[in-house]
Amino acid sequence: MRKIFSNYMKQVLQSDSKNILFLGDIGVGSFLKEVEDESIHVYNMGIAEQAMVSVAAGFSLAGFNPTIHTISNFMINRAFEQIKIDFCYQGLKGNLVSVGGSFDYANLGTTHHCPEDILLLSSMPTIELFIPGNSSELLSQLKYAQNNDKLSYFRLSSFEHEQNLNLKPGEIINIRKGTMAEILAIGPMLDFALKACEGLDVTLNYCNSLNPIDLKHFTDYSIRKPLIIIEPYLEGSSHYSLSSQGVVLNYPIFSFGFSKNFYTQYGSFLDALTYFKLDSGNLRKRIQEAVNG
Amino acid sequence: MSTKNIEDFYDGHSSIDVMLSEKNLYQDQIALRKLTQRIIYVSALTQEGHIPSSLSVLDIIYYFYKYVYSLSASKSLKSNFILSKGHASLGLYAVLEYLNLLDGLNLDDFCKRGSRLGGHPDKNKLKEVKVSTGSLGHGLPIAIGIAAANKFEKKAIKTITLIGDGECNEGSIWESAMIASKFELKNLVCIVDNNKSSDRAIKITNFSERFQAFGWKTLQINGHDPFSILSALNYKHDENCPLFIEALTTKGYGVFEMENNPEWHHKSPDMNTISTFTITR
Repeated sequence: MRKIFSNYMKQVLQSDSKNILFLGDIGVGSFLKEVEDESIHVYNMGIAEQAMVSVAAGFSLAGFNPTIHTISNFMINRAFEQIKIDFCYQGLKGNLVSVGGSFDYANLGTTHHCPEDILLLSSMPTIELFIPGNSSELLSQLKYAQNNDKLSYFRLSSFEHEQNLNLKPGEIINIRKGTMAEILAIGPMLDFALKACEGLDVTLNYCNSLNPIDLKHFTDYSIRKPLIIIEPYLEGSSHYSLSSQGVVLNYPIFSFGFSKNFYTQYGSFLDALTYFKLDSGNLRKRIQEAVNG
Repeated sequence: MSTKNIEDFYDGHSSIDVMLSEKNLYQDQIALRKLTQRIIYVSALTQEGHIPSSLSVLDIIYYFYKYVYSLSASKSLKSNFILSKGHASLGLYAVLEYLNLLDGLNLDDFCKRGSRLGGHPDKNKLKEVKVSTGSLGHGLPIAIGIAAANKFEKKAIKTITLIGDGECNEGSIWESAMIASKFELKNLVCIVDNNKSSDRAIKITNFSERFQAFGWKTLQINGHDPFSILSALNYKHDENCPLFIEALTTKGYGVFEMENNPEWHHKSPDMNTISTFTITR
């Protein structure tokens, strides 16, 4: 996904001088030429994340379209106040593009983990939240939202699903139908959910953004069956995001995401998934337990 | 680069002499006295506001809006002003009200329910406020973004931001000091209202040397002297770098009982006591 992002940014930076990219000393290798080119706006701001976000807000105030790219913990946690006050409260447009969400940097330890990014950003009233499941979805989302009038968050992931789906912005797409429960898989979790649901009498739906999202999907619910959300971040984040957008979920909800514990193992993102029981095998067991009550 | 005291370069700049004629100086002092009384009155009425912080920057804000902002609107060089130390809002509002720049609002409504005049200036509520401030350490980096954008677009706009010395306890100020140099922002001015608020926290001395170390041009002025203020605001430097002005001020300036008295930092007087204050302006 990082390659797709950098290729896309190079195009938009060349095509419109109002686009400006701030790097938090991440992805610099992809923009070596651009950083030196005074005719386009790419700046490595080092690890001054708080000032970087505020400076980007200043550019937005002056009519530019800023994109900020760095590791999610440092952009979202360290500079959250700047996102909240400088961008969200002042209603400024821009793009936050993160890497390292949840445990993509599992090997680097807790200081580089960020499963809470979606929950934190969901607490802001005006931000779009994109959780692309693969590079193709990311590209589609960037084209849709990178230059709109909103603050948009794009959560790049080191893991991608292999399905070729063509979602419209905010769409919830049906993958398979069943009767005992609805599974809603989000972003990179789709393949794990697909494998977990094999042979089970459950509906599987998929989405890759929380805002925009087809809110009507939840009010069209006529059968009281459990909704099981499989999400690649802190469990409950999607539920909170939907509730805060006015969705009343009056049927049993299960949020299968990362639990609220520090993860102190090293290894890969897949190891972390297993640890938090989000691999296909564990998901299957948990789905069956949820369905059987 | 050495720090310049304003007297080192002030050569009787003719336009400043014109601006600050004896008549104008006298009228400005009358105005500043009234503004001081206005600030105390509003704070007593509403039981809100940071009086001493507002008074330490009152001269700077007044002279900027009266002689720089108002004049620049019709000239080729415009100026933006960002009050990064947003808790000095009473100082800002009082000046804007006096100069009819407060959207016709009445400062008596300060901090009242439904009012557009809150404890910190809000861009969403007031036309003259470019940036919502209040959380310290935000105004300067946002000013940098605005100034850099104007530089890229070759717009002749100077961006001036006013920070506090206490505000410089925020790490983002020093991140910003680095970044402003990186962008070589000759169109950016940062004024620090050095009223020694930081003395009670993480004391900061040698402001000018510190900002010089980050590549800024620096000046040091008396933050209550009109000639110093106007000369600094009109200062033109050759170097391709931002300008830092250390304004030496007195917290609570102009009110004897409040000067350098920490008791008054966020305290409002009772209405029946405001006539007892000794206004020294």
